[in-house]
Amino acid sequence: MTTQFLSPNIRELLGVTPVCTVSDRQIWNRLVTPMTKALLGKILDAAVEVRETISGGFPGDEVTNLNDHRLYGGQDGFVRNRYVATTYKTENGLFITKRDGVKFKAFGWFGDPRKGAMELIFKGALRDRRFDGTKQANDSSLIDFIGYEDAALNAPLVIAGKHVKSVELSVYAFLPGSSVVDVSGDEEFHHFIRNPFTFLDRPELFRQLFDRAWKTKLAPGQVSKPIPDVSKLVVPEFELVARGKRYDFVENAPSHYHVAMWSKSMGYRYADPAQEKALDELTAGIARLKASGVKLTRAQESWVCVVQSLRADLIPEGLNMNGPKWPQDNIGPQNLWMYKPLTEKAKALLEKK
Amino acid sequence: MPKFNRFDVVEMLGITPISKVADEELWNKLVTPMTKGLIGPIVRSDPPVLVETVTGKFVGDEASNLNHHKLYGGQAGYVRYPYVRCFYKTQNGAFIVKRDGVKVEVFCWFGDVESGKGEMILKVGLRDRRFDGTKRANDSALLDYGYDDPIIHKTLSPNLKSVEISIYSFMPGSRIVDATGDEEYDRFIKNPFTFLDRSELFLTYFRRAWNGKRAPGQYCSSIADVSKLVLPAIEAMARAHGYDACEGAVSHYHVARWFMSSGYQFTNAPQAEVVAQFTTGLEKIRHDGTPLTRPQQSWVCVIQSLRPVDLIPASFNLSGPVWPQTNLDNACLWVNKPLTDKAKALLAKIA
Repeated sequence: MTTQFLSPNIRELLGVTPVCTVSDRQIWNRLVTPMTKALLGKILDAAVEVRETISGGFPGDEVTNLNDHRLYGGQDGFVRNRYVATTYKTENGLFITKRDGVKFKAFGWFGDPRKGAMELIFKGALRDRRFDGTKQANDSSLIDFIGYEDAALNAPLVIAGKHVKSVELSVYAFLPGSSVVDVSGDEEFHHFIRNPFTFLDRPELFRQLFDRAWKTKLAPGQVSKPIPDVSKLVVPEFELVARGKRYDFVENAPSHYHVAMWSKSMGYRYADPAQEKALDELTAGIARLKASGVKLTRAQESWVCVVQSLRADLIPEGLNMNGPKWPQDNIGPQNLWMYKPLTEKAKALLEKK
Repeated sequence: MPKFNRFDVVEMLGITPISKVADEELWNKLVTPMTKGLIGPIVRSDPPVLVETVTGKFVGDEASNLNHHKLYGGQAGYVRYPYVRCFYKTQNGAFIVKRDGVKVEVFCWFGDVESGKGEMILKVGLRDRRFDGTKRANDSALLDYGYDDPIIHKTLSPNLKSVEISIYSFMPGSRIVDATGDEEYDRFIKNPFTFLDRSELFLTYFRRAWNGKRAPGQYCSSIADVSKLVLPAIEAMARAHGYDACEGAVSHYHVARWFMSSGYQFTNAPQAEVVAQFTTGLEKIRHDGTPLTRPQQSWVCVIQSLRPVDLIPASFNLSGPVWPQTNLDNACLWVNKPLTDKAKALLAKIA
């Protein structure tokens, strides 16, 4: 009898997945757009280190410890899984990459690190989703949101009954000097724009800030003006990088309506039929509002979706859709998952769905 | 064009080449014919399991948490870095492979381990030493001893990749406590240095051990072909996975001699000098008319640590050298063997 030996992929079982092997060169060349590069300037020098603490090199450079691990006899301030941080000094700031076993994250910081006046202008990441739905997901110190461990809401993508290899994409870009607080000096309004859902427990204040936001060009979540070429160039490049590492699907969790529409325009589809139905209702509601004579900008469309979560009597007249609510508030664990097939194998699998 | 750092992120994150040695290779090369004969052929393989707790599948299967990490809100009982366990049921026992990023460890158990009635008969480990001398070394859950001392556990050279090897084999049913029922004597043989604080008792057991055939540390008889076959197999394996040197931390004189006879050298010159003094002293005892068996040679080395020194039998008192590794503290007696020309050149230079 021939013995059947196990030949598991030990590296991946130990939590080190292909996404972390994307090189800095690839990230800089493909994922940092010409405008972002122009803002940061040329790379001057570099330093690489392995880190195990929450604190980083400067304020804003921190990581997370969502599972509340206490290392070395119970001490706070450490992370379970070490990560590799590479810091490139550029002419006008810093280009930083961070990697642990399941995620790489790239940052563009504008400003002089010696003066401590750094402004985040770019943040882009790919994250392997295989451990989502378990506590192991939260062992990555490079995640910003709670809830990936929730097996009901954030389980890995399953297509036609099969767990597929997928990465979550996240991209943020901010033109320097354009943040709401810098322009207006109003921190509260800045926080409201960043995440209006955190103001739902103060409904009158919400309504007051909503009325103000309605008149701006800012969509919910847009605390700064985006760098114009990022939304045009970056997503296909991320997809290429993911495909290069043999991922079959790319996913994202759009925080607002305009982001979901942007994703949809690039071929992403909703993972959850119930959420898809909610989105269709919101789209139909927006169409009804427009048909009734309400003129809405793209940003206002997103605000209309947000305001549906407000106490009904405070929803501005004419904007109440009487039903659908935006599914992802970035407070709780609920995400609006969208996915896109990257490979022929993935497309074939979708046909079987 | 900017110059980008080139680094191996996988290895920086702690996944080293040693973790890639396949189960089949381990079974074929490290489980000797006699060991295979004892545990019998593989009859079942379970899917690999990722383990993040100190407790294992059964008593004796535990892992360690030497850095005392407390996870998930401060809970004990977890390890920082989980390890993968592959479990193979054999006709008469089990073959188990455990791996984390820096170590692969092979265990053979005789008997019904799943019911807690197994006896460990083989334990072989290969451990990448790159993080030794730092707390990171102790994050491996597959350790029995700490390796975080920057002086004692310093690596051979930052330019050499080396693995520490550890080999233990135990003939089933040969354990002292099983044959005699004497647990304390079993513990003495296992580690006599732990009895140094009770000198009279130490001497009583020493005299008993002197007349036995067990060397210090040998609380079971070893499996005869393990010492012959395993070391060269490990070296070939290490070389094949890109390592430049093999190292060992030897607990007793007879183990040191065994390594020396296989081409190993002492890493630390003052320790080499101490062992040379032991060799000279043992030669003198023999020359003075006391023939010494190989186990007795090791016992003579052990008894030099007894205090006060006048308790050491006069004919065995070497008046000076003390055995450097007691397994009570961090001290290690490192030996090494270069596997590549690069290592040979570099180690010759260091020497």
